[in-house]
Amino acid sequence: MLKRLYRFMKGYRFLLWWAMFLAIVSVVFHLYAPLLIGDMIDALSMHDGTKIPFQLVHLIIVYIGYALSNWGMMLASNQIAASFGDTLRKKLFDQLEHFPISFFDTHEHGDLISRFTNDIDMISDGLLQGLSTCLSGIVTVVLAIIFMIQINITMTCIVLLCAPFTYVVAKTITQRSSKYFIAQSKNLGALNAYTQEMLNGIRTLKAYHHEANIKDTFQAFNETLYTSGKNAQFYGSLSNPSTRLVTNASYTIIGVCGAILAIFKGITIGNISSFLIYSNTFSKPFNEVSGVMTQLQAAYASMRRIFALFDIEEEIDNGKESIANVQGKITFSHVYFGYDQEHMLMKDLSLSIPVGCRVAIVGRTGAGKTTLINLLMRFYELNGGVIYLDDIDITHMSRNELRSHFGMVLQDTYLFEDTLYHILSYGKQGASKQEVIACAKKSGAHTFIEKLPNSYDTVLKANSSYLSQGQRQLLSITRVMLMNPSILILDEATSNIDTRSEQVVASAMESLMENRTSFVIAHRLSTIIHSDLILVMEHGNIIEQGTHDELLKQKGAYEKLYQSQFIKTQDA
Amino acid sequence: MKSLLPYLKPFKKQCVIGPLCKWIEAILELILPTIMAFMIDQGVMKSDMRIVFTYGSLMILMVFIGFGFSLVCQYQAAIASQGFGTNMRNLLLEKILSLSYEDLDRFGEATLINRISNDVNQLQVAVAMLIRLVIRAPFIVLGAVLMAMFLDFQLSLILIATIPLIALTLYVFLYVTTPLYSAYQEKLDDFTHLLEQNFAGVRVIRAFLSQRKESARLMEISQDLKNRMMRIARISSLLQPFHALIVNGAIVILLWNGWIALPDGIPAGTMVAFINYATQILLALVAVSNLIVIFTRANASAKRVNELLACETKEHYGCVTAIKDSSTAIVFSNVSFTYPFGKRPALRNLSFEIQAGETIGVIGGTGSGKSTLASILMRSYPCDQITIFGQPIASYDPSTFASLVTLIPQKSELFSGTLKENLHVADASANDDALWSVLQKAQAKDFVSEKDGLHMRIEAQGKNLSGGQKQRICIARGLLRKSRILIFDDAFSALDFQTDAQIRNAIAKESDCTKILISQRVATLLNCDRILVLDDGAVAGFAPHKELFDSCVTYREICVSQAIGRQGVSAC
Repeated sequence: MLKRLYRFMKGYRFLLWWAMFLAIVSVVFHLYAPLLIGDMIDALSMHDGTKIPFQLVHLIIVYIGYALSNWGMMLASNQIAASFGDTLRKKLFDQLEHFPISFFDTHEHGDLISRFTNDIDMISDGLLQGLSTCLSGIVTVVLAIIFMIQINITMTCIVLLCAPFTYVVAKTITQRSSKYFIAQSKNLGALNAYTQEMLNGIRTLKAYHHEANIKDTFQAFNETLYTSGKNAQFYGSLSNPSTRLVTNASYTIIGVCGAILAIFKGITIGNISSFLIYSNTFSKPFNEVSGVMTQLQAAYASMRRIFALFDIEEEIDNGKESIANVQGKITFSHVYFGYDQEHMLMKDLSLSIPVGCRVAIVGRTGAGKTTLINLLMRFYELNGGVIYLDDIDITHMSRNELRSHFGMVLQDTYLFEDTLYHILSYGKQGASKQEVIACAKKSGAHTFIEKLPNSYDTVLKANSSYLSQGQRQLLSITRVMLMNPSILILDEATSNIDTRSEQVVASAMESLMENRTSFVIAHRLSTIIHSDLILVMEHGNIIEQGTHDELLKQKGAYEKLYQSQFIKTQDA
Repeated sequence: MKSLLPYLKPFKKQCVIGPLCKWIEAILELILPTIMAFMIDQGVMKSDMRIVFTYGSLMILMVFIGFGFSLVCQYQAAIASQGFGTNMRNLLLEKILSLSYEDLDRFGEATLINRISNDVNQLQVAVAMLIRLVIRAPFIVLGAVLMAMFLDFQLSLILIATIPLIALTLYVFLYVTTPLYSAYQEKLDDFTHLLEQNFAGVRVIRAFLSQRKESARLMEISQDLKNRMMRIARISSLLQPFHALIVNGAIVILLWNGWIALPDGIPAGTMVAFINYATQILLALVAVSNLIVIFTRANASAKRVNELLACETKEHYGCVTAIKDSSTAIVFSNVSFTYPFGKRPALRNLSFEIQAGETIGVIGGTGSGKSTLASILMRSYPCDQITIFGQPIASYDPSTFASLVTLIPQKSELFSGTLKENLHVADASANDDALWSVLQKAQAKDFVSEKDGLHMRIEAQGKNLSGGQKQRICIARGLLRKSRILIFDDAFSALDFQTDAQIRNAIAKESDCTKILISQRVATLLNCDRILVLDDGAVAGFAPHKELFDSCVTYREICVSQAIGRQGVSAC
């Protein structure tokens, strides 16, 4: 784990060494000052003041040197901690970009966010405290040993013998408490995930007056967090008193041993006093390190959560082939697919779509229409079979290469918080404003955009009620029109647009679909009647295919679906 | 921070016992060197091993007693800090649930989550430190100063002079860094927000190949976070060196005084003692400056938590619990409505009446105000000129209102858990038969029984279900409530026509319920008793289909665009 940590600090190893150097300097100054003071006090007690002014100046320099080096070390370790947090955030985000879509579909977003914020915070806090305490601690210990050896070896050994105790005690406590810290981090993540989900659906929850139940569930999460938090806090905070127990006990033992040695004339009383001071100096860093142990442990637990993400397998994306000029011929060959391995949704699906074909996919909800698109765009990977684009296996292309040929308008329009201009040019960066406006005019979005307070510079908030679902879909369509892709996918793209506006969009889309392979999923059969190929899906498989007229003649599922609109309207 | 103190009240006992135990431990620790001195003076000087062992055992005993006391303190700190945090989170959740939609929009999800987790965490740490460490440091500083005063009053003035200087640096430090911490937390909110968008919109990002762009946005925010952290660090790393300079300056002055006092001189013992006290003060201050960092951070968090706690809940609803038996269900008298952020009214001068048991259709173009109508009927935004069953809409008690009007929105909001739990949001007391009956009506019975029935797992936001499946579950949930008024806000949009028709047939049987169907599809509304046509927020017509077809131009245009004639016969 620590090795891995060190690898992440690649960019600022120099800073790490610099901090270490400053730590040494500051400790040397720190330990040197008492020697000077001792000399001066000796001189004063001898009533000899001749050297005092010189020594005072000397002392002032040492003190200033100490302050400066200490300051430098704090700055450097702060810089390391802050940079480390920054690096982790960026690396982790980069990593997420290579995760399969299914990862985002099955993981709580709140928990992921908690790793990015709470956990990374804990790590850089732990790193900061750990660095500044450990660095000066190590140097102090080493220097104290050197000074002690100069006085008396036997006593030094006794002091050193006591040190492993501190280590053993700290280690035992760390092991005990780390499981509580891991539990605490996990429970915090769970609480976060719940809060996030609740806030997402707060309108429904409030409408159903469900607040009391939310409170109960939240309190249950909170109670679990309390228990693990209390344990983590308590066991973590034990390390400080425990090391103090060992230090004070060793202080006593050293005193008693020293006294016995002194009685047998092994050492002087002055030596005992020096050793007592040094044993304190010696154990002080252990004390301090154990003082920040709580934070270090929390950091450790967080680190595990972060590294767990780094350890998740990335999507394999080693396709090299690319197509310069996509024709748009698509073939599904014996495709098997299921969202979970046990329940295959698609079994042996084969399909061939010629260049420039306008394909419509119909079927009842849950029949697998969107799944077909998910597979084509490689949002999910096949369990068997191959999909070809222009006779090239799509897994032989990189995902980005494949997706760059598709333009997609989804039923769920996801528009990022940004200005409308930027939202519209999302698929074609650097598009000029004129281009954007021209497209918006074609799709009919221009009319309502102009009515907004800052027209194209209006910032669209994620969940605000600024725009209706239909207006959002219009924006989404405009975005794809601007992109001008080789193959078009419209998944219920106009479901929320009123039919009058749809007629405006329809003509624009008509020209967009001209001579281009396109997939249209729609419930309104009126929009797909003129398609070249209609696929009727049920339970993940294609049960009928043909043109509108052919399918009507077959008097099968399509005919029934078509009649349902017809009959229903006749009832009126 | 002060305003949060009352929330510590339930932990008064812990807040007294904890520091008290810490205090006793500190005293025991301070006495230890004195006993050591006795042992050396009397034991070693007289070569009496018995005295050495007696004092030795006494010291060991004290060490263990001290340890016992500190254990008690740590335990109290764990209980109080985690308990405080847990209470705080519950309190914040309660507050969030009572916020109006306007405030929810204003705060945004990201900051609410951060406040409930990250900020409360900071406060928790602060409380633990308050109990564990805060008492100790001032006690040692004051103790050292007092002892110094007994030894030599005049010299002690030098030490006393450091206290206001230290207080001043602490004050300046707090004053400067608190806003910096707030700025940091704000940026953290932005960061959370960005992550949220990226996780939810992952399909769009990948489809548009804009991973690089999103990455760049994250880099920028992460860099900014780092910079803001460093701005704080540059100041906080000054604190410790500053304190060292102040205290060490006092030591230099002490020594200088000693030199001036020559040839009489100050006794060496006094000098040594004074320097020891100064060192003790400095050590205590190191602990204080670590605490200060924790407390400034907590202070910034306290402000954010307070802002939320102080947020006035704007919902002022009445307490009417009895629903009158009025034949008129809903009356709009000249209702106009403008969104808080909007410039143009979203609804203009609406006046109409709806009778109990009627089925009303609402149609209109994208952005004509259909969903706004639903929102104000749901009291999402206050509106005075609406009466429901003869009483002003605002006069109903929240729980009564929740059972009076139910909205089924277009955007399905589901929660992770079982299907049963999701349905129970509407009515926790409903038995399985009741649940199956509403699932049947919502045409969801088939796909639900295919999966695991009522125990079917639903992932956060219903991610494992198709759009149509989600809508059907939401419809079932809405029906379970058995409200007097049911509003379907485009709740059939993801359903195919066949399912749409079946559901409408099923709910038509609930005759004592007033139904409002908002839709884009004329076909969905043909059977309604009357249809309200909205155009740019105003009423364009309100009558049955045929009448409207003859009299209302807007309506006729919509019908024509959907190939629906006066008789309602589909022409396609």
